[in-house]
Amino acid sequence: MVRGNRMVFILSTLFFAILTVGLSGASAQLASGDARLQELIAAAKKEGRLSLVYGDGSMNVSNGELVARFNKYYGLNVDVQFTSGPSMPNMVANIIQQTQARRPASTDLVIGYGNHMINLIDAGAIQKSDWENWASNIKIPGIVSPDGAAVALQSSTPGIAYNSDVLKGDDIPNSLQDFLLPKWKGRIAGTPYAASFDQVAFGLWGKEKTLDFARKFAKQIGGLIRCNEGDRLASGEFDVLALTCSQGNALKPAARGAPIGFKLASDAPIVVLLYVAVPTNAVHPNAAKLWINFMLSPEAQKLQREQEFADLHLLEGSLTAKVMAELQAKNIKFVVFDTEFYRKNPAVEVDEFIKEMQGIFRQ
Amino acid sequence: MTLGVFIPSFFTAMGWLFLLHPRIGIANAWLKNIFGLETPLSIVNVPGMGFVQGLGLASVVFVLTAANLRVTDARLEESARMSGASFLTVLLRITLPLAWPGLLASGLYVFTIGIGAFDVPLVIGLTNRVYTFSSYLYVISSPISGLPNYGLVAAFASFMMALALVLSWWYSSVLLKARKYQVVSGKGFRSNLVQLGNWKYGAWAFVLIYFIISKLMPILLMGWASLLPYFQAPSFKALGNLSFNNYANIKWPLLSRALSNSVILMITVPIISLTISVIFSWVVLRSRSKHRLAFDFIAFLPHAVPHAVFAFAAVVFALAIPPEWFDMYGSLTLLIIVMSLSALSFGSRITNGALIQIHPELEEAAYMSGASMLNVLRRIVFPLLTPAFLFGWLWIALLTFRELTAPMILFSPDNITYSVAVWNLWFGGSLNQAAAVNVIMFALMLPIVILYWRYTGKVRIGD
Repeated sequence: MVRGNRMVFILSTLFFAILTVGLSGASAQLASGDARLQELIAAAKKEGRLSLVYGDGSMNVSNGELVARFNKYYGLNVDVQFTSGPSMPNMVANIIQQTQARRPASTDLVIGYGNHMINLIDAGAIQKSDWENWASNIKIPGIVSPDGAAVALQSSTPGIAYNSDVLKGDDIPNSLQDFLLPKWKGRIAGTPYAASFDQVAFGLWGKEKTLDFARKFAKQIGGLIRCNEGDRLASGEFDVLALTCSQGNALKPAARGAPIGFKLASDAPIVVLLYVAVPTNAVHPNAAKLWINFMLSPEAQKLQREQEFADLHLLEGSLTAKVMAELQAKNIKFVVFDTEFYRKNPAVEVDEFIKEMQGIFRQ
Repeated sequence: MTLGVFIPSFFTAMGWLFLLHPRIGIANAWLKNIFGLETPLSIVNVPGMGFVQGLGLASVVFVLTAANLRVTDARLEESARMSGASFLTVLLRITLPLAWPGLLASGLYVFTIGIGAFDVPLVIGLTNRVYTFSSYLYVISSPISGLPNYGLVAAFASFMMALALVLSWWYSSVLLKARKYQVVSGKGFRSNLVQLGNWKYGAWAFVLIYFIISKLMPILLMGWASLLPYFQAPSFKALGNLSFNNYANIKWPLLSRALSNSVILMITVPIISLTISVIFSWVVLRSRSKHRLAFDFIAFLPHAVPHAVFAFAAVVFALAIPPEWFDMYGSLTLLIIVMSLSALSFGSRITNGALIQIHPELEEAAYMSGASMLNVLRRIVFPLLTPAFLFGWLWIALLTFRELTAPMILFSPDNITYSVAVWNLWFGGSLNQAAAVNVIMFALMLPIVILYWRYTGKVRIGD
């Protein structure tokens, strides 16, 4: 009994010792994480500004609400200066150019899809951060690219945008294959850059099947418009645009009252992660890192849902995740395109494929 | 003509689509309903794009030729008429041949703009898979994945430079015969207005129709678009959607930054480019150097090289200079230099055209009377060049204001221009807000244009 009691005592002592060490370790980690956050906040205060340059349709910060909430979130008074800039590929090229020339980056944040991020990572143009140590909203695996440089911000779901005055009920196409029916000839618009078809080819159908589809699809399309030319669907110039770059291409003009609807193509269930990263030569890197963490907070994600019609499906409360779950229940399996996808599929091969697709669409 | 400069071509292009698109064109719907036409008119083809682009470029041709026609000596035309020549004969055999260098210069100038034109083919042609050189280049050089293909742009530049050589040679051969076109001489020179007689009604009708379709309609369309949440053809249904939301949502800090940069450019670029242009024209037309035509070729070259390539070369140049020496990368200074050099071809066409018509005997007479070179320039050449110089100044300022390519490539948050801000709005999918920003700019610029009209209306050669 005495021996037994001693054993219990030893084990309980050991347990509490382990627990105490563990807890103190955890609280030390919390404390160090908090210290790191405070360090970043102090540094951001000194920087006093955050300069954001990206395409006007990418992430709307101009209404001031997001900026006010960002400053309140950290107790800051940072001047967030937004400048509408060129397209994503051009902005990525600029950042790489500035890094190679050892010049200050023209933006404190760069936005792009997985392929753009791979270009930036390979050029050493974006900086890594110890997100796991301080960023309270960046804890779920898969949000940060494996090297720690790019952080997923939104999930884009390319699909079919259509004129909702013209197409209703069963008239609305369900899949890409539907477009090969004679009734669609001349009524469809494609994009000049064959948006999202690289993902269809490399993640879903395979190159040959996609090219074969593209040859038939090209004979059906009436013309080419850019992803964010929703006005041209609303005007009736075209009845449908396929594939879009993201759901926002249709839902944003629809929110302004344009007669535009959106549907995911049942045979192309794609989720493409939109990333943000801090350029290596960013002038205000600390404010930029805080901004990224804030943008993944529940309140910023809610604002993005309301204004951009997009959020990150990996986060709790995501509307995209809910839509995906509903479709998955109907046996539609989504393929997610992240930086790792583009790491596995060499950029040269993807680019060559896109060029071939563009050639087919141009005819 | 000056009003047209403030209307981005993509608005005009969108407007024409709403009028003459085979499927949604309002004019086509009327033609079908009223005349029962089976095959409506279509704007989505090469002639259609040429028509829309041509309406816009007419302003540029006007300014390049107006200065020349202003200094045409009325005595030559009067002599012809006294000898029994009809109006048409005078026009074909006296007026137009004398204005030939100006016409050729503007023709060549507009030709190269036409080849590089981007926005109209993008809005009208691409939707119907009708490509021009520039829209094709856009499609193949701007992938959605990977990086922009600058190599293709460089290849395009090589072609354009070869073309520039040919065009410049042709223009130079006209300049070699400059003496033929000298109409402003010291022997009682005076310019005069041509009395049109009954032709004036036809002329007014032509001007009115041109004004309505090329200026008034795009301006009204721009105002209409600025009040709508998304672009719609004018209709009773659309009236219900009108609001000032686009104006309320304008990003004022960004816009004021872009505006101040544009104003700085509008002041500096014309001064620099016209000063260099006058010097170049003087060397080309007055010096006896064997290599004088090389100066004209150099002056014309910036126009033949696409602005995209010019700007890209400037980026490479700025990056090559160590920042501790002089950091021009992303600065407004670099933009001023590039745009001043780009405007050199336009400026030198104007100063060439004006100087070519001033007979050297005026200067020779002054020299004979003991005047110094400085005095000759100050008291004879510059006063005679003043109208052309003012025209050039204003037009370079206006063209600088709307120039898009170089500011886009040299873009940084510090040097963003108004035109880039509007383009980015449109390209980002905010067409209606782009229209609102443009309407505000139009309102701001209108008083300056009116001042210019009043001033140039008073200044005449010979006054």
